Amino acid sequence: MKYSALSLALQGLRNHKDWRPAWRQAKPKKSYDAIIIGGGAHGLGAAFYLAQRHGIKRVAVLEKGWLGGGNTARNTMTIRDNFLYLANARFHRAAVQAWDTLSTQLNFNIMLSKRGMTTVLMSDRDLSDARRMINTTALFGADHRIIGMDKLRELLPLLADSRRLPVVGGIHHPDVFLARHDAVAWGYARAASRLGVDIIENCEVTGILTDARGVTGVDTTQGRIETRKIGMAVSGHSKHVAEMAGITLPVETVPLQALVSTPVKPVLDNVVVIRGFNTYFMQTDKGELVMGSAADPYPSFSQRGTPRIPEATIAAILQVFPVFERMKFMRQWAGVLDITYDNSPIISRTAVDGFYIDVAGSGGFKTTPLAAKMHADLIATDRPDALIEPYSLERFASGRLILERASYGNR
Amino acid sequence: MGRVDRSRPITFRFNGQTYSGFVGDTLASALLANGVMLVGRSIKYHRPRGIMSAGVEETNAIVQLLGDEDEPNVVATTLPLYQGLEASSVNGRPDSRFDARAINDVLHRFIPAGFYYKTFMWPDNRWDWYSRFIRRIAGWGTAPQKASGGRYEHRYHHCDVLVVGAGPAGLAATLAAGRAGARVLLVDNQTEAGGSVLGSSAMINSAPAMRWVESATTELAAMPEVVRLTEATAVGYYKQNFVTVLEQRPDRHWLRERLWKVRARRVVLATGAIERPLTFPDNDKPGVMLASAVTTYCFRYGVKPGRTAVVFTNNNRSYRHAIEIAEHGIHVAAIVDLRKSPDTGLCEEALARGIEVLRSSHVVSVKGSHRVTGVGVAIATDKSIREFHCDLLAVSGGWDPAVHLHSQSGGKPVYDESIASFIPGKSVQQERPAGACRGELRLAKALADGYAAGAEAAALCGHVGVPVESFDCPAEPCLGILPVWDVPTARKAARAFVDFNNDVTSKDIRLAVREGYRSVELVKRYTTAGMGLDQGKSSNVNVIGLIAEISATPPGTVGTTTYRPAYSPVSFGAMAGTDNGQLIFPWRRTPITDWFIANGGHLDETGALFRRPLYIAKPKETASDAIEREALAVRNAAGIYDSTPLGKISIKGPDAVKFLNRVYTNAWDKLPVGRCKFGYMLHDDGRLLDDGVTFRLSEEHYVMSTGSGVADIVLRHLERLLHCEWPDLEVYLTPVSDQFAVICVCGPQARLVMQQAGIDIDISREAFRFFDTGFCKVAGLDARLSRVTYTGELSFEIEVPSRNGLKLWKALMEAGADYGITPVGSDTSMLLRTEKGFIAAGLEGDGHANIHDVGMGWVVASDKGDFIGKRSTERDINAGGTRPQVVGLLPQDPTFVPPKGTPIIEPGETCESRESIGMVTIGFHSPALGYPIALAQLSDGRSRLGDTVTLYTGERTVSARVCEPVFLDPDGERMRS
Amino acid sequence: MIYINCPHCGERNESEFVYGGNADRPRPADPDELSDAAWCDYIYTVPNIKGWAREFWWHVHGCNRWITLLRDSRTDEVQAVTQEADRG
Repeated sequence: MKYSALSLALQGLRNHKDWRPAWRQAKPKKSYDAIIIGGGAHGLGAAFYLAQRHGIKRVAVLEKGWLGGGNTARNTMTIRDNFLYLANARFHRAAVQAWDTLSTQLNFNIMLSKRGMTTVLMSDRDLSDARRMINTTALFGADHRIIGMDKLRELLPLLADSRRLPVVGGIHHPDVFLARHDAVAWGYARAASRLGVDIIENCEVTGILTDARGVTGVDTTQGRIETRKIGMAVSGHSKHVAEMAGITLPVETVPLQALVSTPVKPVLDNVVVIRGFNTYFMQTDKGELVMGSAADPYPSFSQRGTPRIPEATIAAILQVFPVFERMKFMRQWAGVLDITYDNSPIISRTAVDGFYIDVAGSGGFKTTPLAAKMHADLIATDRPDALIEPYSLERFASGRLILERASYGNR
Repeated sequence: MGRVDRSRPITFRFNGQTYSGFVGDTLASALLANGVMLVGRSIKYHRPRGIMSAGVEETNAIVQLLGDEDEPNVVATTLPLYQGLEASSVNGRPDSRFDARAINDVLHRFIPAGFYYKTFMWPDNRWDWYSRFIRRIAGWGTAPQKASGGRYEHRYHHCDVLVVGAGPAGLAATLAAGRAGARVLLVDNQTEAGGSVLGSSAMINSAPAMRWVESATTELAAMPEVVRLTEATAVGYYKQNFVTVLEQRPDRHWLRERLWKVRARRVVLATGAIERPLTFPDNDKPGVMLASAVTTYCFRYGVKPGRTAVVFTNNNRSYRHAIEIAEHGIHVAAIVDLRKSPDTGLCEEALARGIEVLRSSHVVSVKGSHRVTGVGVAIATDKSIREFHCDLLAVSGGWDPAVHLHSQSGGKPVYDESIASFIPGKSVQQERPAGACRGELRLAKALADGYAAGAEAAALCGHVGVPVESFDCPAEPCLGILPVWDVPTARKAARAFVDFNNDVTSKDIRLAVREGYRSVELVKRYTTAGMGLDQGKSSNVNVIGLIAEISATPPGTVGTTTYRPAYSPVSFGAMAGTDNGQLIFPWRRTPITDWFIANGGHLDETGALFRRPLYIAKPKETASDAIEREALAVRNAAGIYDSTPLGKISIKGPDAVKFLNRVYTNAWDKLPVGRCKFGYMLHDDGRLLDDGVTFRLSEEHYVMSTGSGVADIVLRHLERLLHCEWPDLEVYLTPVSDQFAVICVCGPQARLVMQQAGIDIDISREAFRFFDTGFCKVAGLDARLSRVTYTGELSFEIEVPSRNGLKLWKALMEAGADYGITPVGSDTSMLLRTEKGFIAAGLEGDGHANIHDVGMGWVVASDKGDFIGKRSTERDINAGGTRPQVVGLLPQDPTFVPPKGTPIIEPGETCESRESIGMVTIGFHSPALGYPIALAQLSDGRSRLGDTVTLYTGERTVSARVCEPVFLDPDGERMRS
Repeated sequence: MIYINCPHCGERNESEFVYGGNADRPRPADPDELSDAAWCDYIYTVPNIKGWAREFWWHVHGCNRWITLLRDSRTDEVQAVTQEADRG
C-alpha cells in the first residue's frame, strides 16, 4: 500500500489493520544474480538501485543481525559536503544532491531537513583556515560563507563569548541536512522489497566462494547461496568480510561515539561545529541535542562508550554555550568506523571478479544514496562512474591517495 | 508519620500556586500531600498525567524548575523539596488542566507510531516545511536561557568494593565487606539508606526494618575504610570496573554536583527492582499509580495519595501492598487479580481486613479525566462487569530487576520465568548482582544474598573473616506472577500505554510488529518505546513481553536492548566538571608573552596551545600596517622574534648520528661539533612530517628543533622508532621545549645589535659562520648562539634557560634601540619566509606533499642507506608526473593579493568546469618588493615555470605567472653575510 | 576507560597512555628488497585484528616508557603487560 496522508487517514478509520510488512521476510533462495552483504542503508540502497536502475531483481541482501543495526543506527544524521580536495568535493557535492528527492522516490519519509551548519571560530588561525576552505571550495559551487559576530549571534542566539578564547566569527554553510537515519534503511528496504529484492535478516556470511572466474557464492548461517556478483557494504567489518574473498583492505576499525541530551523545546536550528574542539552538535526533531566529536584514540570493535568522549564533548559545548549547563546528558553509544588509510571512501572492483566493495572510509551516512547508486552501477556494469574512479582500491597500490586533511574535514 | 521532618516546613510553588511541605519530602510527595495529582501533559497526545511512581523510573511527573534554578526535565519524584522551589508543568498550553493540544488525543487514530514515515512527503519532500511545526511541539522542558554559573567537580576514587544501592541487600553487602576490612564505597540515589524498606512495614530480626537500617548505617559510619554517599547515582559502568557516580547537592554552598570516577576491584550491584505497570486501557490517567509507590508515599512521606483505592495486580506481592495501604487508612475497595488462584493465605489476610479479592478479573475501564474517579472490572468467572468508585488505582505488573548497570558492564540479561522478567546474566566484569537486582525479591533472602555478595567481594580482594550473620524476616510467599502483557479489552478505540513518556501504546507495538519491525531494537526505533526521559525503565519489559506474545516467541529469545549510560540523566555541568574556561586547555606561554600583552601584541593561539603575537601594533596602527612595518625593519634594520614555541628535543647517546641518518632524509655523518644543519623528516609513506634545524653540541649530543605545532607528534614518532623499531640504538630523547627560551635577532644590523648587547665571542662573518652554533655569554647571560634563519636575513638565534628569557629580550631591545630594532610577530615572520620561499611543511605540505612536491628533492641522500620514507620517496609515483608541486606565483594585477586557498585553473578555462589544477598556499603583498607574491601547489608545477595560470577568486579571475618559489635574494647572500 | 597495569607505575587509566600500534608488525629490515606491492601492504594495511593482539602503548603521562600489552579489541580487556616494548 502506498504511503500517503490519504492511506494513513483511511487506515486510521480501519484501525491500521491493512498495513503490510514494510519488507517481506524472505528465506534465501538457491541462487541470485547478485548478493549484497550488509543490510544497512548502503547495502539496502545498492540492492534497491540494482533493481530500479538495472532491472536486476534476483537480488538478496544478507544481514547478520537486524536491518540498519550497524552504523546506520549509530551515526549523527548529518549530511554535508565541506570537502577540500577535488575528488572529495565533487563526490560529496553530488552526494548531498542525491538526497533531495529520496523520500518521494522511496515513498517513505526519511525526514530530510535543511538545517545548515554554523562553525564557531575562536582564533585568527581558525579564521584563516576557514578562509582557505571557503576559497578552495568556491570553485566547486559550495556555498560557504564567513560570517561576522552579528550574523553568528542571529543564527545562534544562545552563543556566549567563549570562556577560553574569544569567538571571532563563524562559517555558515546552508547546504547541510539532517535525515532520520533509521528511516533511510527502512525506506530502502521497503522499496527494494517491493521490486522483488529478498531481504534476509539474521543471516551472517561465513565464507565467500570463488573459482577461476571470480565469485561463485557465499556460505551463510542459513546455508550456501550461489551468485556471480557480490557487493559488500559492512562498515565496521569490511576488513574481515573482504578477507573471506582473499582481499586485504587498508582499513582500521575505530569507535566513534555520540551522545544525546534529554529533549527540550527548540533552541537550535543549525548544526553547530566548534572548530577549536573538533566538536559538533545539533537538535533533532524530537528535541534532543545530538553531540559528537573525534573518534576514539585507539582501534576497537567493542561498540561501547567510554566516559572520556562525552565529558570532553560536553565541556567543549559549554565553552561557547554556558547556558546549557543544566541540560542533561541522557544516553551515549558507539559505532565502529572502518577508517581507510586516507579517510576517503573505497567504492571499487577488487582483484576477485564479481566482488565489489563499498567502504565509507570514515563516517558514511552522508553519502548513502550516491554511494549506493554508484556501487549498484558498478556491480551491474563492472565500470566505475567518473565520480568514484578516484575511490578505487587500486589507489593504495599506486599511491594516489586522497588525503583530505583531518583538520579541514570539519563535520 | 513518615520520615519527613514535620518540624521543618517548607513553602514552594507549583504552576503559580503556593504550597507547603516538609524537609524530607520530594516535590512529588509534597504535591500529593497538597492534593495535586495532575502534574502535566503527555508529549504526543497531551493527555493529563499524574504521579505514577516514587522513584527514578518516573515517566509522567516531569517538571520545569523556574527562577534561579531554571532547569528542564526534572523528575518530581527524585527532587528533594527545598525552600523556595518553584516549578511548573510541561507540555500543557495554556495550562495542564486545559490543554489546547489535547486535540491530538482525539485524532489519535490518525497518528499511530511512525505515522510521520508515511506522510509529510507531499509536495516534493516538504518535510522541511512540516518539521517547523513538529519541532515546536516536540521536546519536553525549555532549555535555560541564561547560564547559572554553578560549580561542579570530578573526583577519582579507588576502592576494593563498590556497592551500588543502600537498600537491604546493599547495606548487608557493605556490612560484610566492611567487617572484613575491605575499602568500600557505598552509593545510593536516595537521601537516606533503606531502599525498598523506606516505604514499607517490613520487619527484620523481629523489629521494624528501619531499625536494622539505622543500626547498619551507624556501624558503617564507624568503619574508617567505608565511605557512604547519599543522593549519589551510579550512572555509567564502563570497561574494567570504572563506574561513574553522580553525587547531587554535595554542598549547597559551593558545589552543585560532583561526578565520582570510581575504579573498584569488585562491584556489588544491589540496585533493587522496579515495579512495572500493567498495560490496560487508560492506564495513564492521573491516579493510576504503582502499588509500591502508594505504600512508599504512605510510609516514607506520610502522605495518602487517595481516599479509596482499587489494587490491580498479577502477583502475590501486591497483597502485602494492599494490606499496608489499608492499614494506612486508605480504603481499599478491592484487589483485582488477573490470576485464577492467588495464594490462599494472602487472600484470607486481605479478606480479614475487609478487602474484597476478585479473581480472574481485570480492569476494563478507568473513569475520570483529570483524576481517576472509578474503575470498571470484568470478572471472568461470571462474565459480569462491576463498577468501583475510587480515586486511586494501584497497579502492579510484576518487578523488573534494575539490570541496567549489569547490561552497561557488558552483561546480557536473561529471562527468568519465576518473576517474568530479566535478571543479570553471566558477569563479564568483576561484578556480582545481589538481592532484588538478581531477582531475589524476598527480604530475608535479599539480605542474605547481599551479605554473601559483600563477603565474597571482600574475600576476592584479600579480606577474609567475615562473621556469620543471619537475617530473620516474616515468611513471604513467592511472587506467583502471571505475566499478562496486554490486558484484554473489547473496546476498539481503547488505548493501553506501554511507554508513558513517549505515548506509545500496545497498539503501536502491534502495528510495528505487523509492519515487519520484529526485532526489539527495530520496535524501539520505529515506535520510540523506551527512548524517552526514563530510557524505558518502566516500559522495556512490557514492550519485550508484548513482542514475545505477538510473535509467539519466548521473551528470553526476544531479548533486551542494550542499556547504555547514563542510568539517569547527568547535567552538562557535572559532565564537564572543572574543564572550564582556561582549565579545559591551559594556554602555554613563553617568558615573553606578558611583554607582548603589555606592548600591543595581537595575540592568537597558533598551535600547540601557545599564545603568540601575530604582530605587535603601535597605537592606532592597522594589522597590515604593523606587518609591513615589521617586515621592512627586518629587511632594512633589525627585527627581534620570540622563537620559543618551536619544539626542542635533546638527542644524546653514542648512536645519535645513526639515528639522525635514519629519521632525516639527508646525511649527518659529517656534521662537526659546533655546526647545525637543516633536515626534512618524512612519514614512512613519503609525506612530509616536519622540517627543522638540528645542532651538534658535542660528540654525542644534538638538539633538534621542530615545528611548534608538531613538536609532540615528532617526539612520539621518534620515541616510537627508538623503542619499538630500533631498540638496539643507544639514544636518549628528552623534550626540552619548555626549558629554553629562544630569541632571534635578524636583519642587516643584527650583528651590531649583538655586539651592543655584549657578546663574549667573535661573531664576525668569518669567525661565526652561517650554520655555526656555540656557547657564549650574551648580556651577561649564559647562552647558546646559532646562525640560522627563517627570514633569509643575517640572523642570530640565542637560546637561554627560560628563567632568563625576558631578561635577554629586554637587554636586546635596549641594545637594538639605536639600530631600529623592531619586535616581529608570527604573521610577519610568515610573510618574510614567503618572500624567501622557505617551505612550511604544514602549509605547502598540506598533509599530503612529498619531498619532491615541495622542491626539496636535493635534500635526499640516496647513498646513505635506509631512512624513514626512503622507499616511498623512490617510487615512481612520488617522483613527478602530475603531482602538485610547489611554485611561486606573481599575480599580474599588482593590487591583487591572492588569499590562502585560492584555486588555480588553466588559463582560458572558466570556473564552470570546476577543474582546479592547484591552490594558493599563502599570498602576501611584499613590502620589500612592492608587489604581491604567492606560493602555491600546482599540478606538475615545475614544468610550468614561466607559464601563465588563472586564479579564481569567486568573483573574478586574475592571471598569474608561475615562477621559482623564491622572490628575494635567491642566492642567499643576505643570510650568509 | 581501559585500565593498564604499567610495570613501572602500577595501574593507570588509559588517558595517561598513547596507543602506539600493533606490536607484531616490525618495519621491514630492508625496504628496498620489497616489491612495491609488499611495501604498500606494509605502509597502508594495518593488521586490524578482531580479538587478542599485542600492542605498543606509550605511557606518556607517566614513566614515559613504551610497554607492550595484550588487548582484546572485541572487549578491550587487557592482559600480560610487558615491561618494555619489544618484539619478543
